[in-house]
Amino acid sequence: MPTEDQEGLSKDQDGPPQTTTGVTRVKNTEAISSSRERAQRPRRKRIGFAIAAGVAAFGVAGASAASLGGITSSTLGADTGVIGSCDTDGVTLSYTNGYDATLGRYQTNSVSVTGIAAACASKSLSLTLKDAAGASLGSGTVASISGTSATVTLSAPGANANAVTGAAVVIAG
Amino acid sequence: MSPSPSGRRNVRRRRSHAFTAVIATLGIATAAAGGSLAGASAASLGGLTTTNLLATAIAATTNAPTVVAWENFNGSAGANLAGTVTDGGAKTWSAPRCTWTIQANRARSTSGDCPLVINSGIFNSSSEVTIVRSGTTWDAGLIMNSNTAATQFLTLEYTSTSNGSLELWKFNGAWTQLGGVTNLYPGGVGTAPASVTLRLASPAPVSPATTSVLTASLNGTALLTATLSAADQTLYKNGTHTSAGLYTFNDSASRFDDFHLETP
Repeated sequence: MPTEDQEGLSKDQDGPPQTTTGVTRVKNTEAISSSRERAQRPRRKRIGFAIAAGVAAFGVAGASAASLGGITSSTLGADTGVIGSCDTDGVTLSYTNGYDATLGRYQTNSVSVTGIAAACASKSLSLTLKDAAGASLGSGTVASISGTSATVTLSAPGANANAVTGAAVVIAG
Repeated sequence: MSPSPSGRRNVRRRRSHAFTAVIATLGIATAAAGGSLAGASAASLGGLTTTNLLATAIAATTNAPTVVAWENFNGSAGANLAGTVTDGGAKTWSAPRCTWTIQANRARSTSGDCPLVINSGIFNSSSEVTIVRSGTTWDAGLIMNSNTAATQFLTLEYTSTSNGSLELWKFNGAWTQLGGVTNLYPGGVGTAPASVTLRLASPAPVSPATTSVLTASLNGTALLTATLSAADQTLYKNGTHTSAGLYTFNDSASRFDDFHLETP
């Protein structure tokens, strides 16, 4: 029966031919050798994968047992739930602007949010004003909505009022 | 010596079996790990509580005025303001018949009946300024819809008369009062704040064209309005009456700060 060694010997025998006339032969030898290596790659890859997979399997098992000292199952969990919306008909925004003498322009300092559904009471509200490119111009948060409206005070110095083209509102809790 | 073809096939089979065994081992290990995670979720959470969330993007317009020019009058004490350029808007100050200088980073005139104007190029606009009074006698304010020579114009004046007053005037060779409000400080002008914000709005006429209204505000509160007649609109609301700025009448003590002119 042929063995692994014999197959290896056979490969060796198919290997580089004897050089007899210099440069031309060297080039031919390289070409042949390269071609054979390509033919042998799939088999070597399979062997490599098998070895790597085996090492990985035993390595992981060994590492988890040795380094963690066991896993406590109560520290991790996952589940799914339905996320509902407490307001389904949107909200209305109005703005308080003030002249900023340092900037020489009007700044939006606060935003009044009205038309909030009663179901959203006590939840938090975050608002961001953005420009035409979608960049944030200013933002603020109300920790707990009281009633059906909220006034969001923007962080100083407010938002460039003339640049505001949109607002993003998130109510969560 | 070369191995026989059947021998090579056997070698391949053995390798294939070994590879399959390793894959199977991995599969078992993975399944075991998955089983552990599934067990943890069931044991620790006991289900989730339903939450509420609203996330929405809204088109927004703040309706804020657009500042055409602004000036803080910061600079060297005694510097002449005529010929200088505003801090914003690149408009040049002009003092047609008197002198305005900087004092303690504010503007002051050196005489009465003294306009300091920029030519904004627009005649439907609003302007605002902070006035710091000095003592208990003052008459200072804003000028608008003026020609470049400041011989035809409208003014809003904040005065110390009648316990503090706001007065709207027009000038075209002679003075005519368009409206006024008095007794701003019933306790006497001594109770007036050290500084006030004065605003005059001269917006575009609305249909019908005879209803052009001037609005005067003190510290953000509209206190006085006046309607421009059709003749006054023809005279003051046109392309040759686009200068606006500061004005003093019998007052060289009041100081002006943070002027800005805007649309609408």
